[in-house]
Amino acid sequence: MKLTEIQHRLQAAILDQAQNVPPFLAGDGAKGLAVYREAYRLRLLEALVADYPVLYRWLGEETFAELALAYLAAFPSCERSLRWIGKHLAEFLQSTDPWRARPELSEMALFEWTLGLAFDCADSDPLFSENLAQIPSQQWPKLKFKLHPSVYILALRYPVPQIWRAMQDAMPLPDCQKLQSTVSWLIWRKELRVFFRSLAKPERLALEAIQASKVFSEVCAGLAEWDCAADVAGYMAYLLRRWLEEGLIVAVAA
Amino acid sequence: MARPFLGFGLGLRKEHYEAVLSARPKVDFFEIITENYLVSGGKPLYYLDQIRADYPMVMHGVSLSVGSSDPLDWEYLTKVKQLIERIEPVWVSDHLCWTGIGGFNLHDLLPLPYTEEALSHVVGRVIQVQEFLGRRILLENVSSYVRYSCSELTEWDFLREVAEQADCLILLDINNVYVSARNHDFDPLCYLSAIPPERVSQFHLAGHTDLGDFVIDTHDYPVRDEVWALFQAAAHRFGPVSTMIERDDNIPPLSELLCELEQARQLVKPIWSLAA
Repeated sequence: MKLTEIQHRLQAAILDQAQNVPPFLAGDGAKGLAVYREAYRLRLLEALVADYPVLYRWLGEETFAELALAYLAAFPSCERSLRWIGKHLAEFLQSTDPWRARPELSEMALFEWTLGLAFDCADSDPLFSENLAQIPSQQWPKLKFKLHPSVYILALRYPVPQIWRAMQDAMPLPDCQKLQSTVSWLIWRKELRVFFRSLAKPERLALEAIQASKVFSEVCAGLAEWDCAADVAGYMAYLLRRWLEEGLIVAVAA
Repeated sequence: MARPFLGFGLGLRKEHYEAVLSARPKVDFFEIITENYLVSGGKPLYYLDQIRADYPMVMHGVSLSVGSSDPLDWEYLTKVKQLIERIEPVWVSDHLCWTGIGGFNLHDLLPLPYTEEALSHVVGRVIQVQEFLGRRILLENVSSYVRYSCSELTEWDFLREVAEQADCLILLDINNVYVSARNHDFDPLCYLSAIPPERVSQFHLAGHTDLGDFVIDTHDYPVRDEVWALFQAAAHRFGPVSTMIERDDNIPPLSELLCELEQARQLVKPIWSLAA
């Protein structure tokens, strides 16, 4: 038997418990195969727990294990590193019975996955207010800001960040009721720590405009259309100060 | 060229980052799991760079899948090469195994059938990998729980042939030799005696779980007495070889691993005539 066929058949037998022991295994093949089957499930379950620690605690060990096995059957790993095996979990929860009946689970998965993305994405040194102070005022309208690579904006319909925080702090969990409207959340890393906070709509619009490579005058124009921000210049100055303190801005170009 | 003797090292685990940086323990080198650092930034690379500044390092991969019938993953190898350029490890190792086929990865180290076909396949791929990385790699023997009825060679003959035909080096995992010897009923000393000493550049030591009629390589407990005994036998046969202890689960405080590492040092000090 060719190497390729042996490998395909052994892999299939490891992934699918219902398959027979391949006849090319010598000795007590069933016993050895059981070790690989068990190791596969445990190793990948452990990796998913590491990616989704709060979802794991929220669902409980047994239910999370059920979810993990169903997920792995739908999305067997094609990754070189275990780091990425959980990348489809939010999508799986959103589209698969019985999980899709609880949309808050998919949102929690998305939230935790995004925290992970911010955790080990590329480094970039933040700018300081002195860097901006040196820019002549006539250049400001054409300035383009660049956000830290860890900046993500999520729109969530359930209070999953609050539940995540309560779970981490061992506090009573808030009710997980669907919100009247979606809330935007900013996730980012400053130095080695990952942070998150909610975003008011004007701030979200401004950040999204920067992400879309709009120049400063366009970012401000977008704010002016939003009637809550009457003093656009003052509000923008406040946002810039805050973003600099939070390490969100890493570059500016005229 | 004489192989470098790095001394006695540990696997670098995230649980020990802070302890390593604050205490600067007496560890001769650290071995990193390559795949844990194939990320773009953040904590993993921060700590890696900090610790690398003070310690020699070696890289140990788990996903090369050199024995798979799938094509080599050049994207993965490119990332490995970039990490090599970043940390300049003394050497780079992976396993004599396959980890998946058809694009899948089981994230396990599966044994190969020891056939002439597999030998020729692996040799060709090791040569390609070494050419791409611009250096010889070390291949580690894995622990195994199945055997193939079509095998034509013993595991030790297969490992030796791969190393000699591909001109690569060997990372001899003493615990894996013991585990596989128990599971497949062969003499571990026979295994050691078949391995050419000049190719062995590193030893691994680790703990296993003994289920009586089966032994599993779990890396979750200290090295067992039977493995220490085999380590001493290997120390006699191979001379001074850089030695490290792997612990991947049930990870204790760094101080415990340092004690275990000292035990390894003391065991072979008289054999290798090491200075105190």
